[in-house]
Amino acid sequence: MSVLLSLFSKKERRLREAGWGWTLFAGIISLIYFFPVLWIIMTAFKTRADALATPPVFFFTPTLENFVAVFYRVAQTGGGEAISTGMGGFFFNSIFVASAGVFLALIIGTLASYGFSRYPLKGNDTYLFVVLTTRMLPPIIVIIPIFLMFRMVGLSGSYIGVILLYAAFNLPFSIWMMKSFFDELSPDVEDSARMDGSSEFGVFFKMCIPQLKAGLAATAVFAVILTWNEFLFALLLTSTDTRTVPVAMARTIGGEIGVEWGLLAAIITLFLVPVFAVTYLLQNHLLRGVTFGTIKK
Amino acid sequence: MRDFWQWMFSPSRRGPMLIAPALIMLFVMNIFPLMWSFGLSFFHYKASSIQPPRFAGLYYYEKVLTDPVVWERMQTTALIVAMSVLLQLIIGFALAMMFEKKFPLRREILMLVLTPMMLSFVAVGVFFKLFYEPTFGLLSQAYSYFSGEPLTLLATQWGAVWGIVIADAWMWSPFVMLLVLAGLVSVPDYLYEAAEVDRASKWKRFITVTFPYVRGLLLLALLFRTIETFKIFDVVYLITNGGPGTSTETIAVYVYRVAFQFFKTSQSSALSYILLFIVIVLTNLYLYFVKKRGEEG
Amino acid sequence: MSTIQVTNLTKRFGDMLAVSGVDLDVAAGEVLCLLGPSGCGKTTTLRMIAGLETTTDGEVRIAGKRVNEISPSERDIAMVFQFYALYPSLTVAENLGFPLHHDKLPQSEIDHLVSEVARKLALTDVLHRLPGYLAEGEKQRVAVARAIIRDPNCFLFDEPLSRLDVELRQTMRGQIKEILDGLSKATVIVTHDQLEALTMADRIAVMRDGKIEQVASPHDIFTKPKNLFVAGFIGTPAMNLQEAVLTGYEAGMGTFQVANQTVAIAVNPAVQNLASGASVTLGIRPRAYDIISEAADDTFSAEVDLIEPMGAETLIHMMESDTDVRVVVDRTVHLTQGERVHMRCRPDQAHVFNTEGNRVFS
Ligand SMILES: Nc1ncnc2c1ncn2[C@@H]1O[C@H](COP(=O)(O)OP(=O)(O)OP(=O)(O)O)[C@@H](O)[C@H]1O
Ligand SMILES: [Mg+2]
Repeated sequence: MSVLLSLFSKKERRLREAGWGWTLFAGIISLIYFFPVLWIIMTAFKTRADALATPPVFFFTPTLENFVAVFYRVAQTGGGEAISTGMGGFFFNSIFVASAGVFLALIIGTLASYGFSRYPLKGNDTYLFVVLTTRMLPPIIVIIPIFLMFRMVGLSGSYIGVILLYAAFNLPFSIWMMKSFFDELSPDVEDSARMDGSSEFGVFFKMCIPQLKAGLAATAVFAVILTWNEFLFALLLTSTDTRTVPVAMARTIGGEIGVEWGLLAAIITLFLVPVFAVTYLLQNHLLRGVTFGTIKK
Repeated sequence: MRDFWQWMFSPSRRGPMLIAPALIMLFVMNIFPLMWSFGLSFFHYKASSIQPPRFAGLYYYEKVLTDPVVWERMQTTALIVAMSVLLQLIIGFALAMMFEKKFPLRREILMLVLTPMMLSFVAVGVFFKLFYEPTFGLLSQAYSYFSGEPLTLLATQWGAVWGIVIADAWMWSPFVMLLVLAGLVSVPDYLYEAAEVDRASKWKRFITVTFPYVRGLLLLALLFRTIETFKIFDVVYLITNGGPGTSTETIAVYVYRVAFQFFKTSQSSALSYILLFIVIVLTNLYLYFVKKRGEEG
Repeated sequence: MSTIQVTNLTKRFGDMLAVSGVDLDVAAGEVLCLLGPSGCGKTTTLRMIAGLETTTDGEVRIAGKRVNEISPSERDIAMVFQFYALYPSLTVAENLGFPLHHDKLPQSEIDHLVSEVARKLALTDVLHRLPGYLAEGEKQRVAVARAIIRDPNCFLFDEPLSRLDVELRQTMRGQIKEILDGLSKATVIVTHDQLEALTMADRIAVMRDGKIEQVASPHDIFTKPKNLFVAGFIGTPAMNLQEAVLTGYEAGMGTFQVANQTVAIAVNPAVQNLASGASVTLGIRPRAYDIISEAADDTFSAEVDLIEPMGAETLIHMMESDTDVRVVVDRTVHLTQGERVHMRCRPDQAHVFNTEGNRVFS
């Protein structure tokens, strides 16, 4: 991952030096901005009484009981043994569905982006536009017919259905992202490899892919996070067995009396760990990522 | 067989061959379902009933376009988009100015501000729901501490709109910041130096040197955020669920209701197509400016 | 008075000493060229004079006043940047008028000055264009025009011609020189092109590794290089620098052992102070040799190795005992490869450098 950082630390203008004073100023502002996240994390470590206290408590003895409660609860009947809440399974589903969907999207998307970048067709821009549009559409209008179709062919609630949908969901993103990386790569290297008698497969796998390793990693990680966060598709297409964490979280607040805030905060905190890691690692790619590769710098 | 492979991989077919898998996948998972629902929009069909579809012609389009409820939802959406995007532009710009300096720990502090953008809508929904919670929510407590009155933000129409706008603007201001920051750091040093030698005032320096480099990206940010906020679903669904009454029901939430609560499949399909048209127009505009910027830069 | 004085100017970037102990004194109306190889600290020196870079040590005085603590905008200077630094969103006319806004002149006065300077630099036709739509030469003229439109204390140019093609460079060199002559301001021009320095400068300061090696008029820099570096850096093709041993001196003629040959050469009388047998470096420019048909005491012989026609003249590379000697001859002189020729150095054209690399002279 450090390769990923070093390769893409883009050359920035020499910014004006502002010193520690500015660090203090920016730090305070940013902490205020970050506060909602911090508050949730703090809540996750609070007891139920602390979490609901008025006035709010900022200093407290941290407890891990909420994190335990995420995965186990005490059985109401019988000997009071710990039983699984099923949340572990939802975490597994989130990871599995996101990685499988992204993997599929990345293979197909990288090939397509190579084609779009190196062998432009007549109407290349139109194809690219259509590709992007499918991603820009409100998910709700995409999901209505898919919901009906999946119900008809029996894919509703299955892993395959969700994975296929997430692959399609990530495909436009992968194509645009990877195309932006391919466009930055000079084709001279590929041409000279061709001159030296390399086959087309050799050119693609031995010349392009190694140079784009960092870009591929960035695209993959970004897509995983987008999928990891996705809610609406998962809400409508997963069943109890294939449910992902966002849906499980939403159900926890969904209307019932007395939301278990500590528990919810603990789930979110666990859910955020990969997001933090990725945000830090991808800092130099965030712009490209959040604009689907349409803006590079 | 050999001939067949040669035919498949001849140079002139290489582009189409590379792109084909992606287009097939998008066709199956996105375009075909959309076409199918386009078809459905011309029939009487209810996904919850077993009656076969009956032809309806333009009935549903007429219905949707003349339905005052649709226009009301459109207005609600427009209001939220306008408020949120404006807020994002202002906060994003201010944050970018703050980070357009070099200071110790800049990267780490930047990370705090960038995180909201990478979060799941569900997580953001939960954060703010917790903040707005009337008895122990932090915002409500702070409010009653200063004003002596309790705050039930989400109980009034404007309060609920603000509740959504704040959450959405909090989440996406970092996006605008990233774009603006990219513009700010792309201003060549020597222009600032020339302006200094030419004895320009701070304001004049901003207008002649800084702003031209940010203008284009600001426009892109505006369009991109407008498209995205137009689709706003998850945050509304989780924070207000369209309430109080239907006063914060955005168009995406409305489509969801029509399709999955009332199962008016045909009507929701017709509505989808109107949204699709709007998004296509906006996306086209966005790409036009992306391209223009690429040609100028 | 418009003058620039720089004393003991020093700049460190971290551990790296970019400029060290530079002293310069530019009089009103004088054009000083800072000349040196890439990375020697020319730009850094200029930027410190402008106030765009802080000084680590030393003093900058403009018009007699210490300006170290003063911002660039208060130093009242005009600068032409290497990349021109035209404001991309302003038209040429607005660019030209930009430096005048500070003085709160009425618009009519600004318009008048703009049209005047535009006429001077043949920019009248492009006044309403944006910089993005200008040719490279026009951009450069706009940059110069923007600098001369007002009446600053001094002018600073950072490689003003480096982005132009050869032909434009030649015409612009003359034009800039002409304009500067009429303004009587202290001017510093940074360049790495010696031809530019030789034609535009009243004096040239040759820099190496952050230090000034020599400051002198173009003529003196060329004919009296202070040391080996200046001798080798100035002049194309570069001066021949050959290791030699001084074996005797008599009546203005030094005898040297060069590449197994003994040659008598007219040298500066100060050479007699060197001990006999001292190692020296002989510096003779390629154009200071005459090709002679027969060997004599004062000739050096070598074998023709490579012939490079340069148009009006021909550059001959010759080899003798592993030393390369370059000689420029008229194109009418015909030599063939492998041929052995004799050559003689013209009087007063040979420089002797001691073991420290300094020229020996009195
Ligand atoms: N801001 C900086 N930080 C660190 N080192 C710097 C900085 N600016 C210049 N340098 C270094 O100082 C040295 C002198 O740089 P300077 O730009 O003055 O050279 P120059 O003579 O103008 O060269 P050129 O002809 O290539 O423009 C170089 O080695 C350069 O790398
Ligand atoms: Mg320089």
